[in-house]
Amino acid sequence: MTDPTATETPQEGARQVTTAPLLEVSDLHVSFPSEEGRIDAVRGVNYTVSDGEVLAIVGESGSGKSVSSLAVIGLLPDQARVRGSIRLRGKELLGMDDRQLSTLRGSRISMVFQDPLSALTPVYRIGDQIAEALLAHGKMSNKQAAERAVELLDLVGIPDPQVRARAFPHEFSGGMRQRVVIAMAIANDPELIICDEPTTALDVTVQQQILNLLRKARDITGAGVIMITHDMGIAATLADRVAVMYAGRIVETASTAELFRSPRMPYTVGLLGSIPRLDDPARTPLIPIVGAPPAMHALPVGCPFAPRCPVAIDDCRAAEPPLQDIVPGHRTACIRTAEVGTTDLFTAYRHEITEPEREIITDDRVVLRVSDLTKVFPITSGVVFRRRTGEVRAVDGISFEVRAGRTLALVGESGSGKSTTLTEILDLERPEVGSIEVLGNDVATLTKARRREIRSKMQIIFQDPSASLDPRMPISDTLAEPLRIARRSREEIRTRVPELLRQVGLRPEHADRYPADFSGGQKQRINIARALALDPEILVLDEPVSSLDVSIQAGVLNLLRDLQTERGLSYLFVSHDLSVVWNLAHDIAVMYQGKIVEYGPAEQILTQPEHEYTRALIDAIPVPVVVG
Amino acid sequence: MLSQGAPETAAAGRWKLVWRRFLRNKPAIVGAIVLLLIVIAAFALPPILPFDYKSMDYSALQQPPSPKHPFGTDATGGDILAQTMHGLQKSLIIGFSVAILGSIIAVTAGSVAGLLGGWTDRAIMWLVDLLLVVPSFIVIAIFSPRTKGSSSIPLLIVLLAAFGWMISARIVRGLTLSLRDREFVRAARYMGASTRSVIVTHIVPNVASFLIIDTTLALGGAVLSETGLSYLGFGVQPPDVSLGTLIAANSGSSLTFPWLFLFPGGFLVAIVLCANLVGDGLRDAFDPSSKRARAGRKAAKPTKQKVKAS
Repeated sequence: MTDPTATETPQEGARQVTTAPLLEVSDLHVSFPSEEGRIDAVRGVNYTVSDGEVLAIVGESGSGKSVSSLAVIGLLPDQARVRGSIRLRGKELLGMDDRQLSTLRGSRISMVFQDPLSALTPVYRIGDQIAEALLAHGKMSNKQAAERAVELLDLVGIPDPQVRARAFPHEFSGGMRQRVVIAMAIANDPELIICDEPTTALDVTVQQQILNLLRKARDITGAGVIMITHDMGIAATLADRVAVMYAGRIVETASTAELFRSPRMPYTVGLLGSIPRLDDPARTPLIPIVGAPPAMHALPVGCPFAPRCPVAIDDCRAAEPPLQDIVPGHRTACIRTAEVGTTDLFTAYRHEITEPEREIITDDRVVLRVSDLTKVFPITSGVVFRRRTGEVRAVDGISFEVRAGRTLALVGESGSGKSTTLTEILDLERPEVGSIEVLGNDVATLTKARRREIRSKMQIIFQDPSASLDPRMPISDTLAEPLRIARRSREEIRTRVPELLRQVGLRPEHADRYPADFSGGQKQRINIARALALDPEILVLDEPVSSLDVSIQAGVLNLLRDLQTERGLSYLFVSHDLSVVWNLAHDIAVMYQGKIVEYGPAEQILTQPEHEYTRALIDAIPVPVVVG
Repeated sequence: MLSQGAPETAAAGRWKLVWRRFLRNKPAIVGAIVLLLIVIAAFALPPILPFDYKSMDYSALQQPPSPKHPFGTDATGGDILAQTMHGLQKSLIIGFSVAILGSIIAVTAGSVAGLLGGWTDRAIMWLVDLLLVVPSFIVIAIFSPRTKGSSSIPLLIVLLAAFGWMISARIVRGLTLSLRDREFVRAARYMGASTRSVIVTHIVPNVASFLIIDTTLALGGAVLSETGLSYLGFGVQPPDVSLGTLIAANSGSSLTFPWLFLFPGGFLVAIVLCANLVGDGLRDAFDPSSKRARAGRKAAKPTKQKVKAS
């Protein structure tokens, strides 16, 4: 900037004319209709973003963090009611009709969504999709747009962009697709980029690259960035300023350094405390924030966090505290900031957890044994005569054991063969090569009745809590399903369903709702409840917490650990996140390209990793600490 | 658990919830009531009418509606009201039976093919393709000696349904294929659910939107294709009448003697319209993301009460 060039001068001029900040959101309210009446998802949110600044909005699911940003880009569903003011460079966005907003979307404000899979149209070439984004707003020829698309692909680090621009989305990996989405987002040199959990669906090592790319995109475009995330680690590594949202309001906002050094809102402290970290001892209970986020249709009077707050006093329940400055630039919505400091808060939370429970006595019974399992997918070509032209060894001779009451973590990134291994185990069919033994039965020799019995003893919890619940089935029926399949009596089902809901920390009156009315964390609890319905012995956990946010994740991990201690469950836990694995697993098997590259007790693998891949995984974890 | 003070609110369950959501949809309720009235009229009215569909009143030929003949009379003095009501009976039975039977075959074949895949899928799809290329009218014509006369209505229904399900089945199969890999279906599979229970609990409700629209469209189609068959000499034959034959016979005089055409035609439109309204209501009730079935702005409980009371 010391050497203003000819192209930069008008831009500088424009920025001086409008003294208004890039984005100013004030007193934003959003409400939705629901079965229980209107839900106020966002209740009076104020924030500003300036040029080149990264604002991280952190919060639990359902805190209104996504809704408040979708309101900015005008993508809320029709039934949403929006009130307040959203100004982009002083120009009011609320009340604009869809056509006016469409000229802004993509050109001045752009968005990176969570799921790179559904953000790209599967039937168009990558290059054409980027060109489409350019042609929608810019005035350029098709040829120029195509050339620019290749440049953009190069910019976001797609190797061989000329060739790859002609590829289709399915030929790209998840991380590559997210790079393409980012390329589309920066295509028109926007002033504001909204990133809605852009790395949640990605592997850790890829996440690190995407975060670096976003930082680069910010530097290139000079745009303001709103980073919506549930991961404090991401906020710490990327953001300049952090706003913490709870129950539809911002409860603490400060510069990143300030916030992570001295958080003052009990909720923020709770979030920070609930993150599993590699420097904690293994398998210790996390410090979750007790309770659940309040039901948005019936918010309690007073501070919405008071019921979960370890330092709440009676005054907290009297009125909702406003967001106030405690030091310049650091604002919190808590009436006790004057008397309770950061360290007091951390201590208060630590008081709440019970003593670490004794390790359960484990008999050395092996409940699941996989030996020399190999799964090969043939690659065929030709339409009429299928010729086998090659093969993919998705799983390549792996062996492991799960013991009763213990957790084996299968660690690896996408494509490492974890999912194939799980499918092979869950199908209960004779594998092509190798053998699988469940509860002492070789699956190759199972009778139909015995297989049915084993099915009820081995349950799975999927990664995506939304996809694993039938959207058209109310929760009560979802939970009753395994019981019905096992032909339990109607009476038993009626008593068991509320019991299961309570066991996983949900309210029984939720039973009448559809899955769409729940947040991700709650859906995962419903999944756990469904898996528990038949009192299984083995739970297969397929990345059960990877799409949840931290305080929820802590709750779910603690729940899983408690259930294991209580019932002696055995877990086969599949994950890519080593900090989570550290918190739950007794043994770890690291998978890389279909092979187990490292296998042993958790302590040994995470403290003295031998394989370089394990080390790369450990290094890629974003740490919620600000250096310097 | 029992020691807790507050009474446990029993979960309503899926069907109760769907019913409750259906009741909130006023147009659907109106449609259902009108449809019910038409059915009652079609079956209760003919016995108490002074004329039946075959009788001829030579004192009133081609007369417009009058107190004696509320819907008027045709060229031979036949009472249009009596004919329409009798035709309604036939058409209601044929229309609803064919539409529902066809949808049941379609959803069964389509979802079984989609869910099981492999050889089952291929065999069912071969059958579908076969039936699609076989000219259905010729096959029905082969059966024609048996379908003559009014005792053949069940056979007619079976034939019409048997040749009307293929395209829907293909669509259901496609929808099922995309559902099959969804995790809730996999979860049900790993729970040990049988194919039948997966279809009933997961596939059918998730393809319900398509099925309902398809069934309501098939309803109108069945009434009209029955007319086509009658014209060729199969199905309902004179002197017996159906709504379709009435419309076909009288459409020529729609401008000169409008009552001949308007009343049977109006009833057909009313049936299809009401079936559509009910179908829309059902579709919204099944679809949790539909906003029309949601409770209004007021608290949910009073709204439900009010709708039930009205």
